[in-house]
Amino acid sequence: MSPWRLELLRIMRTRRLIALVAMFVILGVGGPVLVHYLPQIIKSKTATSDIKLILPKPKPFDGIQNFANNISSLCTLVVAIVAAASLAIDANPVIAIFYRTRVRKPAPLLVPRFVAVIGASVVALALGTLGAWYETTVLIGSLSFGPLVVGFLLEALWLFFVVSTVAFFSSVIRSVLGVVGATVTLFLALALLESVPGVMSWMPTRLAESEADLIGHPAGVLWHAIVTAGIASLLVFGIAIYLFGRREVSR
Amino acid sequence: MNGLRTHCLSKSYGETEAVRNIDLEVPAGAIYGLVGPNGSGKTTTFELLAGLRHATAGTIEWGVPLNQVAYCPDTPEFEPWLTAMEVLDAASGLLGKPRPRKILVEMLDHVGLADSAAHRVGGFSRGMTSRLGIAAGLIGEPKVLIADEPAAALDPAGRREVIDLLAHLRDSVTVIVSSHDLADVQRICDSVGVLTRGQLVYQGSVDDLLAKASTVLRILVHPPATCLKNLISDAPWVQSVREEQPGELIVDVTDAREAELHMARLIAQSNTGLIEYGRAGASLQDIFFELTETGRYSQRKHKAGDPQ
Repeated sequence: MSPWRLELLRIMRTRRLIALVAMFVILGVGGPVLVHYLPQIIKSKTATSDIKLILPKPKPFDGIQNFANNISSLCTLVVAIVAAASLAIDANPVIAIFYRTRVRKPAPLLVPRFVAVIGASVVALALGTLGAWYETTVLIGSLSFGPLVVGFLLEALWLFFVVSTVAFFSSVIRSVLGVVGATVTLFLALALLESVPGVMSWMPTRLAESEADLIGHPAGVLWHAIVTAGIASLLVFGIAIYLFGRREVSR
Repeated sequence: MNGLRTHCLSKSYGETEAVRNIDLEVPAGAIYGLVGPNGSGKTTTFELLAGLRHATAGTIEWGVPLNQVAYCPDTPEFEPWLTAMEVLDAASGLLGKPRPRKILVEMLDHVGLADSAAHRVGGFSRGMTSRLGIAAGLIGEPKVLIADEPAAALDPAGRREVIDLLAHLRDSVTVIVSSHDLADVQRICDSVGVLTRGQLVYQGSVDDLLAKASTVLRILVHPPATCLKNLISDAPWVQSVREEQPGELIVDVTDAREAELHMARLIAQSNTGLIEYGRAGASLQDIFFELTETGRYSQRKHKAGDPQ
């Protein structure tokens, strides 16, 4: 059994793929539905009162923005948890012994896990995006497909950054919970840094809502974030491989 | 294939020295038993030899490439979502030596798990997991096998099977094994190392160890044994002799070789009827306790002398 098949089995049999797809698809399909029916829900709840609400008619952008908001929060958290469960190899030191005494170099051990998690996350993102696009088109109005595809690719880059970050923390922290906690803390810090003028455009976190950004704004404003996310992802994953190779199994 | 050697191998965790200046000499193809009480540094030594830990000082010569060194931890664990067959398939595949299904089945059969080949290991008992650990170690055809308490979780029949399995590897694989059952070590090991408090206090053949420590002899004769006792006590190689009960002499000798040469003559000279003659306390277990208790005694003395 090759390491690639092993990782395919891991992502399927541990139901991590199902968790990812379910999360992205539910939010992708549910977001535009919620946006479409929200005015009616609010009106029905306030029908008996004297307050008269005038709500704008939802636009296609609103449907996709709802999904994009969820990608930057809930979906990112789920991807981080799934990635930590796969990449924190030393979380169970006895199982780590099985791997480390058979694959002596860190890269062949980490890369298949990394690719499997990225692959599963991007598949889930694609299905969620398709769901959001379909529901938005059917319920609210048509969306331009080109910016949506580019937005999808940039959000895939965001997920690449997320998984790379998890890989880095997995090489310095052993427990899955610790890795997830460190990743979430870092992303919260990055989100806070987004408010600093001049720094904002360079933050990788800006890519998390690319689908909405590209549909709602002219293309080109995300170039800084693309460069930062690409370089940072490769750099932290490289450091993760180096640190993982130096670390001892501890029990 | 060369043997495995370490030179002044040490491992410290901060102030604590888990392993101190160990010079292991494991001949190629031999079965080497590493024994010692809990916390003596056996597992740390094994993990150093398996390349899982970095030595603080000293060197290791494996004699073979490191990917031909297999390590079976004392309580092996595997991904619970894999079947037993898939564990062996993964174990060989990760080593870059994929094995055909027939070989995997044979190996599972060898460790008594053929009926559980398609079962996920998450539901395995500890004994079954231990057997699978041995199979996963051997499937890559290693040249050096390090097995930490390989039979610890097994019932007596399973224990015997695993020990026999290791014994059959003699000459083709260098086996380094630890066990709390010293009878197993005595039965299959060519040489033995005794580890206490991170130090190797003895290394050599099991026979030499037994001979070295078996300086107490037991002689059972038809009473009275007074004449024989007097003759023995006059011998220069005797430290003490006492009559435990009528006809039973316990002789503490300073030179076992001299005793072997002259004892029969003394018995004949005393004109006493011999019933039984042998070593008292000749098991590896007794020697093990003697060696490791000495270590503990030294430790207590050392601590008592330490200024607080």
